[in-house]
Amino acid sequence: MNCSWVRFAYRALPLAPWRAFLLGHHIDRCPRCQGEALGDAAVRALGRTAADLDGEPPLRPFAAANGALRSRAAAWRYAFALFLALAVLGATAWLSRFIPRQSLPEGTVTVLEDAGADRAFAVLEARIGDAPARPVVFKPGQGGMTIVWFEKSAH
Amino acid sequence: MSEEELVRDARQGDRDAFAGLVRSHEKRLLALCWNMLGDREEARDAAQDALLQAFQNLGRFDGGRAFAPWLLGIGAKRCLDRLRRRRTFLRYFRGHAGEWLGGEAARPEAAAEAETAGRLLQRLPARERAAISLAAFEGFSAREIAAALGCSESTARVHVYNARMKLKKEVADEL
Repeated sequence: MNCSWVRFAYRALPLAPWRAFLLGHHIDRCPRCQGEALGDAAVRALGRTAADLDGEPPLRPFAAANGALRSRAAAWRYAFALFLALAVLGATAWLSRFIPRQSLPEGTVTVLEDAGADRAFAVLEARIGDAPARPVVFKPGQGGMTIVWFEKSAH
Repeated sequence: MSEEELVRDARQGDRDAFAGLVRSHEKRLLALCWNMLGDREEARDAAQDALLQAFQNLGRFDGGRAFAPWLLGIGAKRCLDRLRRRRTFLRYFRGHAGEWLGGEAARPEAAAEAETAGRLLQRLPARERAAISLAAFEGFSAREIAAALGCSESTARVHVYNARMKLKKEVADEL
């Protein structure tokens, strides 16, 4: 194969198998084509070899490993603490079902509505438990709304 | 102790055995990382990552093979990962440098290249740089390069030759 043609073919079709074919069948064995590329010795002069690193301090791979282990241990500690907190909350919520609650006395209100007037009613009786309740009337603002609630009276 | 014995002990978690195993190869590993990354500190970090990864994956190492090519292959992959991340960062940085700095986008890669040795190697694409580093500095065959970089043998050969051609041109341009 002709060197010029091979070089043209190499550049024209950038497919690895095709280029490898040209390398194997011509370029690797052709001194002229090899002259187009930099040799090993010249490449080595552009970079560093192990011999250039004689003064370098040794690597410490396990320093990173220890750091990673420490951070992993810390992550596990946080996860455990979170789990513990959730367990305590859950247990508290579950146990709270068993705490006896003081039940509120039931209230009853008897109301007489005025069929003629749209928004009028009369409270005939209000009781909280067995005791009569005292009405409290509250009129907020000027909107015409009236809030009535009942509270335990002294007698 | 022989390399095989050191590998066996290291597999059982013996850190001293692993340290003995890597002692004779760590400078080669560091040189490879330095050539690929072009920066001493980053190369040391990458080499340490590679050693740690090698220790954690010793179970997968085929004891019948030489340890150094396996270790250097891990080193090359770690460097490629770092170069990929660096490229992503630089792409992002270039996209925003103008608005961050309020002026024309800076060229950190070019600045770093100028400062570091082996800047001609740094101009090569990452995979070609990895391939030529393994071939010229470590004497890897195309098959070993392919295994280390996770590509076909043809691709490995093409990467090496392309890198040699580009370096020849770069050297000629520098002169």
